[in-house]
Amino acid sequence: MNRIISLNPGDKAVVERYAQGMDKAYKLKLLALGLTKGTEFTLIKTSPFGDPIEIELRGYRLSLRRHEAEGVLCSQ
Amino acid sequence: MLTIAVTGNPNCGKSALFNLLTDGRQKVGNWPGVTVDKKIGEIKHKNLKAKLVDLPGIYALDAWSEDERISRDYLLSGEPEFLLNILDSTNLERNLYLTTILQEMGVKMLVVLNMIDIAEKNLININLEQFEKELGSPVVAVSALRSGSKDIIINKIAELLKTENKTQPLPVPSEIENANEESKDELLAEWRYKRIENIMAKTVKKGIPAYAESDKIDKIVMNKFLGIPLFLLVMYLLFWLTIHVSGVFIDFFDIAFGAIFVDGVRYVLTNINTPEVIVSILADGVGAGIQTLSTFLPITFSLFFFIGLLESSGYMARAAFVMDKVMRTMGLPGKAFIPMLIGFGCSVPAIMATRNLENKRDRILSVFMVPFMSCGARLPVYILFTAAFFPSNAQNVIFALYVIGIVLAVATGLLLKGTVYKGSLAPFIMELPQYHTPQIKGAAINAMFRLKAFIKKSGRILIPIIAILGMLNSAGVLPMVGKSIAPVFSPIGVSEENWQASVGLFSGLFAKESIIGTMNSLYSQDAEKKEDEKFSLFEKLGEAFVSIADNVKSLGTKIKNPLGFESSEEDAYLFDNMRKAFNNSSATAFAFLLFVLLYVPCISAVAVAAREVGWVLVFLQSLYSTVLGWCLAVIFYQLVEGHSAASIVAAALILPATIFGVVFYARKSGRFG
Ligand SMILES: Nc1nc2c(ncn2[C@@H]2O[C@H](COP(=O)(O)OP(=O)(O)OP(=O)(O)O)[C@@H](O)[C@H]2O)c(=O)[nH]1
Ligand SMILES: [Mg+2]
Repeated sequence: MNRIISLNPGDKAVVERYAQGMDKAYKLKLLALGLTKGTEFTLIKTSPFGDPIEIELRGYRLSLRRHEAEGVLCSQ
Repeated sequence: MLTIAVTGNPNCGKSALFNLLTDGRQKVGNWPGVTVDKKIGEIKHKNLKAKLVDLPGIYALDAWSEDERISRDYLLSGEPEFLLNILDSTNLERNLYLTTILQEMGVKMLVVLNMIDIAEKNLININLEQFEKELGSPVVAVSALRSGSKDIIINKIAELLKTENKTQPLPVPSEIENANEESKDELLAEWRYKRIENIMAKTVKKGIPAYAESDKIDKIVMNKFLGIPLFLLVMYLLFWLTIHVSGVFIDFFDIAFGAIFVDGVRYVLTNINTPEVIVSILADGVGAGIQTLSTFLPITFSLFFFIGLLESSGYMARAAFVMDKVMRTMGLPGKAFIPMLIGFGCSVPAIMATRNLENKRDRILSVFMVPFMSCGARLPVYILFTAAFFPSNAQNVIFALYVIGIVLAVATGLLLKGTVYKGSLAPFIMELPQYHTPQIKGAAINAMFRLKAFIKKSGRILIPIIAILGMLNSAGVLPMVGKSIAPVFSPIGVSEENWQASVGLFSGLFAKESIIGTMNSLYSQDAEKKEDEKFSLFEKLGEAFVSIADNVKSLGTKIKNPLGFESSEEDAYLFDNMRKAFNNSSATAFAFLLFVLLYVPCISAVAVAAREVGWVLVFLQSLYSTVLGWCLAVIFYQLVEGHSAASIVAAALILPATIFGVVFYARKSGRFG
């Protein structure tokens, strides 16, 4: 199981599940934005200052902070 | 009347379509979270009369921020009888998520695939008929940029209203309904997205990679080394263009408005034997005030125009993305950078824009910081003063004032973060839109609209103020008032004799741009009247138009004095008066400008902020920034020119005491969220 934190620009990954005890509001928003189980996404780039990151999923781009997205467990 | 609500994801073009349908002027911009309030308009079409309600964008019916809450509450209120669900055709998959939720509610709705022009350009192929069938709701495809879209949407709504059938509520499978709390949310979202993926697979052929062009731009804009310098360059260019483009038109307004409101009014009033006192108040007071303000109309327009271009490009979201790490040191999310940028135009929309922030305390902190951004109403004051006192390096002085504002905003953020807000920050989730070609026409129309609002506001405030002040002046009251408040302002170098400046500061409480209008009219009212030349309105207006051509021709050579002040006799005369009043001291002028930058934001900004975060906090903010402004101005003036140790000590004591007081109150009261 991988974490978003360890991905590099260009890497593709698939959402496996959400970690237990993740902030409910945050999780709900990610789900609404399409980060559901089985969704493939690509890490496009990191901000010039190293964080946040930009990912592509379902044909659009989303930015997240690395450590906040830690609860999204994925596989490569 | 029928009530129709416009809903959809952020940034899909709801407001653009709303404007098209209602001939409205709602703000549009290429970042999520432009609309933050419910806006009402009317459809007046031969086939349909209805009330149309524009809403902030939402991704689902759970609400995370104030604007989303407004949207959700309205959708669930039962008031809208019909929904226009707008979708971004280039981003259908995620946009459809909200559609599936609305379908579950079982309301009458029309699904509008917007931005079809971009979808076509990107070779995205949507089989509309099939799409409609699979989705189970009526669909039209349009572009807000095409005027024909209005009829397409309205006729379709009219047609749908004739039929009775609502969208059948889509039942959620029972195994999901009965799932446990923890997994239900996930299962529900997966189920909806599965359905969407299915529709997409059957009806939509993907085009060229949507972000190919945006990525090319981002390679430069978000480059590690180029990103920040480029941002600064863009901001510099924004102000450079503002000043140079508007410089061409300044003389025009100066001459034309002078001819009509000063000379013209005087001519007409004198001819009908109006007493000289009244002529003086109306022509040299109100008229001169209007004339001064009018010279800043081109600047105001240009500033709104260029900020509008930036807003429509997609750069704002990138700025928020890049600045997140920096804003975090103040405990704010990167998104809070957007209100700060808007604040360079006007604090009022900037304060409104904070609604897009999830945390109450982030909003409060932003409302504390926004007024430190030099707004478009302060710029004219800077320009006039620097033209009079710093003719050779006006640009640098203005730049310094902007920087001081920014530094103080950051310091305020750090102060509150370090003392009041020690908790965790709100998570950062933000969609990054594709870049769009900046909308020149849209930005121009929008700037014109904002300019009209600016004229109305200034006129409403400035004309009565100057008229009243003019009357008080001719009754000889003002110098006394000036004397009585001298103890407050003399430490920053505004002397008793310079009561015009104190009165100007007072009128600036209502709108900062009126400072110069007021001061100018007071300085010129006291002046000895010139011999009446023969007055010819047409000749003057002709002269005004010629000035535009002259200024265009000399564009290249005017870099040093782009605004062309002091070219006319009146300007020279005004500047002379200003210099006399400020004892020929540029230090005094700068201290004055420091105070103008920082003292109480104008009454409109205060009122809006009060509505957003409450009167107590706004009072605190105003007190804090005014004291800050006064103390810095005192310290600057006394160090450079006054050399009164007592004043410096007083300022150096008052400043920390006030800061301590604000922080103490903030921590005790719990009002800061
Ligand atoms: N090319 C193109 N651009 C569009 C179209 N509709 C809207 N835009 C642009 O897309 C951006 C977003 O439009 P808005 O109307 O502000 O979007 P909104 O849905 O109201 O966004 P929020 O208020 O943030 O929820 C703006 O830059 C518009 O100029 C369209 O049909 N075609
Ligand atoms: Mg909008």
